[in-house]
Amino acid sequence: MRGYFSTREYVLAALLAGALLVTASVIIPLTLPLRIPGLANAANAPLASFFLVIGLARLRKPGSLLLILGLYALTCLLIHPVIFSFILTGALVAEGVSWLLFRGFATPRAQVAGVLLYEMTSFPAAMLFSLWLLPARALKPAWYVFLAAEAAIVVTTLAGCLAGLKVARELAQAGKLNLEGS
Amino acid sequence: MLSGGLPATSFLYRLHPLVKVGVASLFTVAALMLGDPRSLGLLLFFFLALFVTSRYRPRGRSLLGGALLLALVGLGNYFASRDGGEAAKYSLRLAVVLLGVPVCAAATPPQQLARALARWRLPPALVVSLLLVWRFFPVLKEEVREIREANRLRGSGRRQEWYRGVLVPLAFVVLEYAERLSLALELRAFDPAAPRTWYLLPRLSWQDGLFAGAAAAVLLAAGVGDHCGWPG
Repeated sequence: MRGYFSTREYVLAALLAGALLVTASVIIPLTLPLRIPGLANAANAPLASFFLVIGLARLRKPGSLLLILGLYALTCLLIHPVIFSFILTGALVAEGVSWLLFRGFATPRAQVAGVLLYEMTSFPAAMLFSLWLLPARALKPAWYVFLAAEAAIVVTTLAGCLAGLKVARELAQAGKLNLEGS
Repeated sequence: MLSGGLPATSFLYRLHPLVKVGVASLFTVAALMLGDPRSLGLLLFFFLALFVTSRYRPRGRSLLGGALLLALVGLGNYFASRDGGEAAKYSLRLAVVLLGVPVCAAATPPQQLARALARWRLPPALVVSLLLVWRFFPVLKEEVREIREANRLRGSGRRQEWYRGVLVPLAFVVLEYAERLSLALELRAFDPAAPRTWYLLPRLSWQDGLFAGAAAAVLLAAGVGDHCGWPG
């Protein structure tokens, strides 16, 4: 009996979701009290995209991004439903668009595009869900503040993705990461 | 924030995993909705009382780190709003959010959680993956702490610390664990697509009812106090 993902792929996805949770638990509590729109996402994006790109470089199949982020979102459901909702929305949009454009994550371009799409979608999704579920606490920034926040997220995500791709190649050379698929 | 010892014989350890997780999640959601520092203080008091009844022994370092973080958040909010109540509100809210789920994580063995989730007939691969995230979150956090401590001992520069000093070694650690764990699962003939049976399934007991009742009473009191105002 063989499923779509192998045991090794499930384990790697789970541990990468754990790494995302660890980096978010360090960065986000430090940025949230400042209540600057997009600051938490922009500060966390380089670390999250670093691990996501390494995961996608290894997994490569369609659905890989959704698997890692789905596990991450399910764990975050214990912390707050809003966090679960925006992570899952970002993951679904990024996975859908990546599937339409690249049919998976076989190339570095597809890997970077997938992660960038997730980071760019999850910020407006977070604002919309906050506005819907917690209207009293939600931030309502002006459009130019929103655009500046999105630009900052793009820049920091790209930096994380490039670092992730570089480290993935180094890990492959060291024999720690199989980039040729399972 | 929470690392240290929790005895396996403690009250909290023996509760049904889904009851613990449900209460922690409800308290976290409530902490984000409540605005009165006294209501938030009541929620925090509930978790601190759980610590005491569970005979939890926190590490001095974790206590100091947590207290420092809360003090920084409180100070930051005080300078931003010039309002002591507002600063207390954010610090207490953060304390509840930081304590709720980690208290449950520390008091729930992964096997118990897997058995409880098995009742929902979720795919075995999903249950095992969720279990790994749940179980390895404190392990990876500890690895990060050790990596940073090793960097400090070597006297590495601050600017390069996060990328070369923390992220790259953490990526190595994640891949190393992934390799070892998948090997261990494969050696035990784990198949993500195969159905799985469970020998022991956790059952609800009177202690779960008592815990859920006490949590509901605290939540109700905090909600009423927040909505109608506290006396005095």
